[in-house]
Amino acid sequence: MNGIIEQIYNMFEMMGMPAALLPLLPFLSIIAVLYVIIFAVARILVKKKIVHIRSASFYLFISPWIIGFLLFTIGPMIFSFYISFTNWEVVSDPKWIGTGNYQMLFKDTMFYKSLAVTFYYTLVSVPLQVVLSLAIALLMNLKLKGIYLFRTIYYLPTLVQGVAQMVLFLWIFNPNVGLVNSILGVFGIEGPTWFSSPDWAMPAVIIMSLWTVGGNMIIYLAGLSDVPTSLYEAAEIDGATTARKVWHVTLPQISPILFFNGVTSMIGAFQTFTQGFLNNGGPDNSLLFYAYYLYQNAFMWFKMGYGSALAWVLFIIILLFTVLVFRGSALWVYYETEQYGGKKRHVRKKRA
Amino acid sequence: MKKWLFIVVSLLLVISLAACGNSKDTGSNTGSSSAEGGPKGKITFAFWGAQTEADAIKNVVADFQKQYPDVQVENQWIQSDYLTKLQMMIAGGTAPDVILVSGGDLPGFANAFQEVNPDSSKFSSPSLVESMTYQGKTYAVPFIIKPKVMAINIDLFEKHNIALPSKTEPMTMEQFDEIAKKITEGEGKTKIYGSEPLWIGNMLYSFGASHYSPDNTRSTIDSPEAIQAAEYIISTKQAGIVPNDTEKQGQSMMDWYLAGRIGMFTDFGPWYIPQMAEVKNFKWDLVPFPGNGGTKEVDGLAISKTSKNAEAAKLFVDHLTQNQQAQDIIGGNKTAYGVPVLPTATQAFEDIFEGKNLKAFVLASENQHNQEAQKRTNEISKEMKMITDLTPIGIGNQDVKVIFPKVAENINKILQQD
Repeated sequence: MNGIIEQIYNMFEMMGMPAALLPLLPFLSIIAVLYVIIFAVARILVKKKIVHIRSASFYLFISPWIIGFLLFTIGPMIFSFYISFTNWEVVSDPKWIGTGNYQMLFKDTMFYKSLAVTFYYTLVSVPLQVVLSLAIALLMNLKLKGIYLFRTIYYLPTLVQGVAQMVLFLWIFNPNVGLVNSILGVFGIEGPTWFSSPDWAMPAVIIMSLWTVGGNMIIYLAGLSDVPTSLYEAAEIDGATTARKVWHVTLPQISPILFFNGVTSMIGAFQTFTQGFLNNGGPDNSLLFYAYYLYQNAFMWFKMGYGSALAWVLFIIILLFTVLVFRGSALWVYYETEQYGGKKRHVRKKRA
Repeated sequence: MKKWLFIVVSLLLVISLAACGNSKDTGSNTGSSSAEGGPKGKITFAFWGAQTEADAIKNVVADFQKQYPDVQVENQWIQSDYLTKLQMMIAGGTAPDVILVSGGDLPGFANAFQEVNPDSSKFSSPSLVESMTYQGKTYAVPFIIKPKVMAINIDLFEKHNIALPSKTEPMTMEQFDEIAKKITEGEGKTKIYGSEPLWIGNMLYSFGASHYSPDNTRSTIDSPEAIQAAEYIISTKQAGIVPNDTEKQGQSMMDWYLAGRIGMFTDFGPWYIPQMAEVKNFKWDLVPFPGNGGTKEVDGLAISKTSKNAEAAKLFVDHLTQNQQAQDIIGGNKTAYGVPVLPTATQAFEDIFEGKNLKAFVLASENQHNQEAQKRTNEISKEMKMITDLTPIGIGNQDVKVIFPKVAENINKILQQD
């Protein structure tokens, strides 16, 4: 425990505070002191007319988020950037080794293996997820009696996620007693051993990833209900078939949502962890996801420096791909505010 | 412009405040000796384990508290991810004063522990202090031992007219193989097996092999003895005297043993004993591990380097590891937490289960091989996983004579990292 916190802790302990509150109180009192200082500074700045009262209140209102972001996101990021240039075994002091960790990456066969696994998963599962969830959303958008019931049914699996989902699917894919192989058995097919087979572990995980398409479906549904009916009516007058209406009206209209779901699914896929973790990397490293390999290095093998370097490389990879997708999006994503086919993005209003 | 100034000022404030918090420790020293002489103050004690194990430890701690009321011990029972949480506590500067650590995990943490000098002759075997030693220095005091023995189903032995094995001398691997073949009978869901699937980590020692060279610098998993052990494991699978992977998938072999479907359960640690109390449908007993294989886990108590009350911590460690009463309490715990390290306390352990040969555990606690430890054990275990992934020991089909040397080579690379 560091000195200041411990002193505050001891002070409260002497004051006879209940033991359950003790760990919380030093934190709360530091926050309180921090805000007293910030308020005082803000007051002075406003009094001296350095900042306007309205901008001061704006920053004060968003300050909880800014402080949290600085302390718990930017702070650790800066620290991990520093750590990535050191050899840190956690239980001893970090040793500066320059770019040693990054150089080691290129010689590490497991690094390439984990990249390959992660790309395989992302490239196959993300398009599948996007297409399937859109297809389901289109079906769920039909105006039928009792459609709400179906929407609920398709959304329900999304509630079982993460570890619970993985444990469930370990049983569904169990070679002997699992649901999948039992059904295959009815048709006379001897199913693979799924999670115990180096070739079938990844397909099993990809199939599993389709379990949660309900989440994206809801977002598409919201988008679909926003498409103006006047566009469909106009298309109908022009004699458009259902397929042409989907292609020329629905898809362009919901393209921002396709884009959003595509990007978030991609980032999510790059960060896949649970599936690798619960299978210990899978047979013959077939489920050695990048994030899991990172975790192994940092938290299991006492190589925090190397783990941090891996994390920064992942960050760069995700950044690159996101930029790529964003750049590409200009070609196929249409926003309502756009005029003249996507050339002019922002229409500025003149101040009154 | 002015807005930016405001932001910058407030940011600086936040950062400076956060930085203040990082300044060097100024905490008061609670560990100074009192006027009465003995150590005083608070220490924290971290340990892992299931509920019953935690209860066993808390009993000993309570006994210590009774004798030394001046020292307050705060139990930190870490229920899962023990090693990761320990790492984080050490890195965050909140390391517990006293830490329970197994011989296998000790090298990775040695840097965070104080060196200690326990008197090796006080304990039941010199191998115990050895297990707490890394690169010539001892970092923890032995506290409890968890050896491996073999549980047998006496009914199955009698059914096939097999003479019961010796209670003190390990049977040879030839005898084991012969008995396993005799016991195996039947088909499908009622088939009875000679043994549960054998584990390479235990079998190595039955065949006179080991993981590393005596100086711990080189993997010896490619030795002829290790390959012999591997080939024997494969032969048991082929002969059908152990359940194969499809048969055992996702099921507990202990449950099979308890259901009377397994004649000899080799990987039997003390933690299984409480379950055995409920066995009514067959007669059972414990005998030494065949070929004197398997390893014993020695758990010790280490004192953190950053402990502010090292004196009290040392008193606590000495009491738990060398006090007769403390060792009687932990060793005699009804849930069989482990074998005590004091030779005079092992009787308490043997008395837990009347009429059963718990002596086998005590003998193993002296004679069995220590868990072999490396600083990078976790990373190495990933390489060892290749053995089950690629050879018929597990789910693969490649030759052990090809894979074992490759695994040894990879392990040697890891060992040369520092």
